[in-house]
Amino acid sequence: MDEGSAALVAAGLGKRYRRGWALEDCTFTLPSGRIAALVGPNGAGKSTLMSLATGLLRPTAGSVEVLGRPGFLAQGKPLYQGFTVQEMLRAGRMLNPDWDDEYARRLVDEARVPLGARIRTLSGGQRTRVALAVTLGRRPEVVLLDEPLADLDPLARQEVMQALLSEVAETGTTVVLSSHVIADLDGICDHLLLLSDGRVRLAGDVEDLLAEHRLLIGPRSLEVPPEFVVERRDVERQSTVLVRGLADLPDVEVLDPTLEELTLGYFRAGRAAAERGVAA
Amino acid sequence: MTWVAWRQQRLLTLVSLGLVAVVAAGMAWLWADVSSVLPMDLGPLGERYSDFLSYVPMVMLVLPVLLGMFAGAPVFARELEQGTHVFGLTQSVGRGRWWATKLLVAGVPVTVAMTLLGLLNAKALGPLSFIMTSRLQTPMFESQGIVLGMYTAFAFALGATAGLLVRGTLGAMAVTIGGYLALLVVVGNAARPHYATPEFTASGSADPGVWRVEIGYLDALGKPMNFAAGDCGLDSFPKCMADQGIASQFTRFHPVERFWDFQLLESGIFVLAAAALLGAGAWAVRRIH
Repeated sequence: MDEGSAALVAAGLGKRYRRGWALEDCTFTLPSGRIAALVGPNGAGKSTLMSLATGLLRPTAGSVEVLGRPGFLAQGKPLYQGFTVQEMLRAGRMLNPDWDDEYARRLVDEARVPLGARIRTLSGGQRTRVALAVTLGRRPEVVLLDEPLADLDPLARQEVMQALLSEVAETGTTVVLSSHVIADLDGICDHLLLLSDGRVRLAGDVEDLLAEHRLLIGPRSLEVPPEFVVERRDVERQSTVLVRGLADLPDVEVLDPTLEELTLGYFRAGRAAAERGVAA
Repeated sequence: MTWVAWRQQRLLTLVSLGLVAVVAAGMAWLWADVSSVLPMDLGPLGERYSDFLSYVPMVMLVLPVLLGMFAGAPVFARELEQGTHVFGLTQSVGRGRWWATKLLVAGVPVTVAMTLLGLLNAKALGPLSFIMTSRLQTPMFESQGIVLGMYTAFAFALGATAGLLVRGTLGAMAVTIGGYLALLVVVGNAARPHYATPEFTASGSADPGVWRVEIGYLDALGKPMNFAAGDCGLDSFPKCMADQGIASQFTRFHPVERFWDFQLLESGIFVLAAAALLGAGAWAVRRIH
């Protein structure tokens, strides 16, 4: 897979449910060979986007295409509860002509999950490792993981991420990982796609995005040209302003935002915009 | 896909087939026992088997809907409840194949088993068909022949498709029992008497085993008329009838030889209903996510 080509392309993508648009007018490209974070608050449309990309849902508008063999791990890691681990791997083999059985078994062995154990008896961490083995056993070129770390304790989170990263680093697989816990993704993902209220608010290389943004902390009287402001919070006598593309201001403390500060700023700005939209 | 579908349904299929096998063993015993005592006069024959026969229709009426509820309803509903359909639908197997394979693997064994049971019942109950009602009539008609298998196919298709639409096993079971009973009652009462034109006899009597669909009275000119029993007062019925101008009785009936024709026609109705349900299921499966 050559660096720089696209792994996932969406154009004008939209999905409307009975209660309204879950995803609207999304246009973006995820580069291949990268680990992309799909972030957004609950209900932002992350799962809808994943389901559209895997073909589970059909778009109401626009299109989305995965370029390369896909692998998908759905939210809640659905596995057949009554199957043993071995039978689950066999199911993967039966349902996929390009299944790599040796590889899938190795992934399960490395997780020290007994092959004879039933899925319903596994711990959350073991379940995730088995689900990951079944997903990666297809040797996918683009892996979509929907909240794979939810319901795991910190140790299991770390182990799962390590296992995942060591696999994709070897094969150059593209990974798209959704989460609403940014801390899980910091230092792991090199590409960001930020959704809020069904729209793409931010997309790009994580390093570039961090370099473009600044966090300004100053008095409430602080005046910032509005075209640069992403989000402004005024607390008592102090203001914190997230800006994009503004290098410096006099008499203001300028900080480099962390990934968490950056994404939270966009989440809050998105929510505020949505609330204004409702009020109007 | 076949192995996965079988592994998922294995327990329910084996329990279902076990249940049918137990019932079949009872019916095989009946067949053997009837064969060993024949020929025998109708009176003693009826006495010997009437207790046993009173349970047979109950079991046979319940079995198809039971299989529809326990083998059919969970096929898709349980996956939708547990979210595992997302796994199945995101592998390298198309939706249509996923749906069709699950239906065939779960539905064919119970349908075949019940068809065989129905044929066994027809053998065992054939010599006894005048003990209870005619074998053309509820509940003996429903207890034997190929309709048993087709009722099962219908109940199964109803359960499976309801599972896709209501997305819950309990809801699908409720729909199955309601829909099955409704169709069975409507077909038995409204459609079955009209599968053929009834034969007519003015003698008032007919062979044992026929299905009398209408009994009435004729005047001297052979025209049907009503008998007003309430007007008879203290007169005896024959005198009263004569006074009212009744010359004879007539019967409209289906001869027992029509049994297999009726079985085919009724099976056709249930197969069509099952096909319509599967069509609805094929539409519904494209929309689940």
